[in-house]
Amino acid sequence: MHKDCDKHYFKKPEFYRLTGENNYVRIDAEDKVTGHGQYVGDIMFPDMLTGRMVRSPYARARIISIDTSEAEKVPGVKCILTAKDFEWKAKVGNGEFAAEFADKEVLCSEIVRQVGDDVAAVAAVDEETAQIAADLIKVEYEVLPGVFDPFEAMEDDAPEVNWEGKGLNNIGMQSVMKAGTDIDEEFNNAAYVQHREYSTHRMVHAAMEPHGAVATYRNGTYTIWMSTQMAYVDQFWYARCLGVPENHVRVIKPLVGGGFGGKLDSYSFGLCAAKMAELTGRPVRMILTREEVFQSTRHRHPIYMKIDTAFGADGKLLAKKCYHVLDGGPYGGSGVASCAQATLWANFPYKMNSVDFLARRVYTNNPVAGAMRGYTACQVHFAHDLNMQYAADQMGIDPVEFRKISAADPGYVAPAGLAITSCAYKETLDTAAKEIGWYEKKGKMKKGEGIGFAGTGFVSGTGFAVLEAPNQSSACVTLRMNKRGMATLYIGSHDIGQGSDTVMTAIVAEELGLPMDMVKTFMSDTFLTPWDSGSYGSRVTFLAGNAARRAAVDAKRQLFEVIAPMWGVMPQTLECLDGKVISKEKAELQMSIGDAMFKYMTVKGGDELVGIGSYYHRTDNSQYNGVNTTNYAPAYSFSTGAAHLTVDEETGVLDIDEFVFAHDCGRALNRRAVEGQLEGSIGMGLGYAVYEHTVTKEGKILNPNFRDYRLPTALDMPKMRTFYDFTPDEEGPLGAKEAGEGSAAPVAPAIANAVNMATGIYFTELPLDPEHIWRAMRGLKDDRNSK
Amino acid sequence: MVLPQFEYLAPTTIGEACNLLLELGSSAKVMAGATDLIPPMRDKAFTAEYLIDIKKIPGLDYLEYDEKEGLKIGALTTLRTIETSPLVKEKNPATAHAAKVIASTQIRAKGTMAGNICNASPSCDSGPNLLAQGAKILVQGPNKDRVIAIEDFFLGVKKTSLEPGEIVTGIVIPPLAENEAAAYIKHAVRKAMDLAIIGVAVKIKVENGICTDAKIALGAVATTPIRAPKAEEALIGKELTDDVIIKASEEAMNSCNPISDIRASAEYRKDMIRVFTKRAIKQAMESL
Repeated sequence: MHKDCDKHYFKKPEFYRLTGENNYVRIDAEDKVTGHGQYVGDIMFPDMLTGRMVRSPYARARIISIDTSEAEKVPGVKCILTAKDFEWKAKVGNGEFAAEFADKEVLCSEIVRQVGDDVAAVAAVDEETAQIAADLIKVEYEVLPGVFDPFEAMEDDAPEVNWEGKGLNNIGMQSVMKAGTDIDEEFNNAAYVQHREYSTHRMVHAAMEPHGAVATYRNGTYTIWMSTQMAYVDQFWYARCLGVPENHVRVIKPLVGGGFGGKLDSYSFGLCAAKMAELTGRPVRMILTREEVFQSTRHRHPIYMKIDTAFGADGKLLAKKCYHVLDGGPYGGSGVASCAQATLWANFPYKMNSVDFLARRVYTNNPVAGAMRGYTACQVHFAHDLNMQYAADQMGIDPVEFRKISAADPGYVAPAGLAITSCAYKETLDTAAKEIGWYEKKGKMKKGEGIGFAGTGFVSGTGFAVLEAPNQSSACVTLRMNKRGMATLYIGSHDIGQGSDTVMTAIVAEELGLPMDMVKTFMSDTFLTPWDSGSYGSRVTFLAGNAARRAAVDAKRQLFEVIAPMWGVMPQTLECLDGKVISKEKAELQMSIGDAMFKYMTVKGGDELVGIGSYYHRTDNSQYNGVNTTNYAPAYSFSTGAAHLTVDEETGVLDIDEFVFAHDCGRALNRRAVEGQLEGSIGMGLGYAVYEHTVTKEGKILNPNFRDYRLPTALDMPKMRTFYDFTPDEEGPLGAKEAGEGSAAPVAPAIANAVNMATGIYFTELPLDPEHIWRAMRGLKDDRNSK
Repeated sequence: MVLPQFEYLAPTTIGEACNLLLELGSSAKVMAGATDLIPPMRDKAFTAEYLIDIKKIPGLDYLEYDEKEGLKIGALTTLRTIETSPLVKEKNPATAHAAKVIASTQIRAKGTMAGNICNASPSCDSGPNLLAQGAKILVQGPNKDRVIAIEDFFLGVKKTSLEPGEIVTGIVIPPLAENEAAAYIKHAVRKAMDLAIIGVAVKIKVENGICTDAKIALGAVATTPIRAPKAEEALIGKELTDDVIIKASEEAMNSCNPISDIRASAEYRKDMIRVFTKRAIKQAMESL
């Protein structure tokens, strides 16, 4: 990447043709609406086998024996795998940097640790045969006592769920964040101190497309088409667990029907598909059932949160202590970063002098929890915003004003090291308050009616759990231009439905002054496209978008350096606009980009033009070294949600009149995509707040289907209005910040605060489904979250 | 998930269908819209070796209204047809509503009201409405036709009084007189694609300000949809004041003994019977 890639005279000034007018459509729109788009389940080979997993029915048990003899006799069965087929015993984890913390066997050799744990795999000529064979595999278990409550799991006499013999008390991960002034002094001098406890429930990602993989093994190479958010990280773990170098593993991400964090981990089923492809010489397809997605992939962590807060007499937030206990299930994976970030979110979106945060992720025999739309932001912001609302009420200060008193400002550096750049948090509060009609309705609402606000902040463009090494956290883009001026863009970033391929294409088209269809984009193929660590932590638009812009600027610079001398002008006086290279100084100097490229190749002896760009967040890894004063992201987004609703006091049913959402995403590059993300956040947040709840019994999910696990439907959606025109971020690509992940966080607390106002009850746990509200209003116990 | 293998039979006369059903016994199931058959078969909740599709039989897809007999619904008439029919909306809006609150538009486009009651789920939405409105179920068997009063139709969870070889061919709902009105309210968490936590259906007759007849039926609080006779008695012969309605609602609540499951607890279900009995009576009164 050239040192001048960010110089302003090569970057396009702030007048945007494509991203300003938003007059472009998704590059995959036609494929998707006509059904021609290729997802993993659409990939077919003539001799393809179908795979099924054999899973544990017990939450914790010892495998005594596995008898595959009956299954082997079934005609059409081609391959059966057990733990011995992965004899080098490499384990699966999540972060490449934390390979030594990997804690999941591909197939369980001795102990199963959750209901649905991976025990064996079968490949057969069709799904029916594979299922018959899977059902005939006899596994003898010795059932062991499990532990399903994280607090019980930390007791000395609790069964050890993982890392047996290490004496961890099942604390698989612990994060501390301590910074700022003397916290005891802050609490001693405070005008008002409060101690509150909150808890959240277990939710699933419920991506429309279930997890799946298709694998082939040819010429010594595994090729895996994977429904994934991080193909390159899969490549790392697949190579490790298959016992081959990474140059033998090609992972391709086709279209993905949603991830939300549930496709951030590398799973055993894909590894088994790859191994069975090798052993049979035939392609193997493995698509999970919805029940398997529920039971055996990942969940949103249930978290128990204890918060102590100190305020000044004017309502200013002085200091905060918190203790978060996450129910992790038996394995780490993306849950490790989720735990670290459970302390990070507690900073946002407020200024304070001193912080003392502790988070523990505890191994239990419940299903595994991992990252989910915000890692742990939705849980932490739920508790911490309700905590703010409670303080505002106790101190008798208007809730909007109260939040503004301590709200983060542009340029604020938090004690924990977070360096805020652009920040329109106060503006989002004002917008939400005005649009929901707070000042007109305040004090005039009838019984059962309420308005609730919640303010949150999030990272925009984090690294791979914040590392200093760019080769582990960067996003890379390569751009090729041919003699007609057509650009071919190679991006490592992962479009999982959010539309990032389109945004990358638009950024490059914008910078090169080309129409969208002159930029052809190839994505997420570990042998074809450059490195990108994946879609998580709201890094795609910010990091890959900046990388794409740098690649385009790099290409432009090289082109201008050839054209400018022909015109007798300086390269930096040229620009690409409307399909032409133009001089910004002499109107008569212009030429089509195709002609310019033809000339470029003539001058360069036939070379095509290649531009490269990369971007990573420059920080350090002190987060993992106990210091915990680090800047987690190059920018931060801020949101306010506001709900106006009525509670039916007889039934506990909520009637949400309106939800107003104000989100500071810098400059929106694709307004429809931003609105889609914000409205989708309201839908998912509403599901979290009211509708969705996995019911588990001893680690088994009792409602693993969309009949009993109730996602809100279109009819359940409230009227929504979204606002997102705030200050562009200087560092963001064309001014953009994140718009899809942090936006999920303020929805549940805004609804909860409105319910609190409507009922006069301070709810402290989720979900606020009708029966939960009905019980609380009658003083009846609700113990659904206790196990 | 793989659908287990089964044999698909498509007779073209009702007689042939009854004979097949008799001959194949419990290994055969009658299929119309199949929306309550295929998903549980895929989930291995039950098995059937034969599915007897009655959709090829002519004359079972009708929706008519007769001033004397009332609303006549064929065994193949879909829920979507019932829900969207201007005739049903005009003559029996409670029935249109009871059809509309089932599952989703897509499922209602395939599923039938006859299938909904033959499935005999305790939470079926058609059941309470038909029970409150005193519907008659038309049945054909291998040897004879008969009419089953809806009160005698449901026997238990997934159990009806149909005898071997018998097939439901239609449903008849008596007409609502000028001074009669009906209502059905389903209480569920979602506004679509959800099973009832409870359902309450009401039919009342009011003459000169006095309630002279009342039927109240409850769903999802017993093994079958049930009547609430004590609640009905609390209304009959009285002016429908708030106090009378509240008394009847409490009687309805006390007359049921629901279970707790993953959808709701027994105590919540009971109280919702109270709330929605009250609301259903008031809703019926409004349409008088």
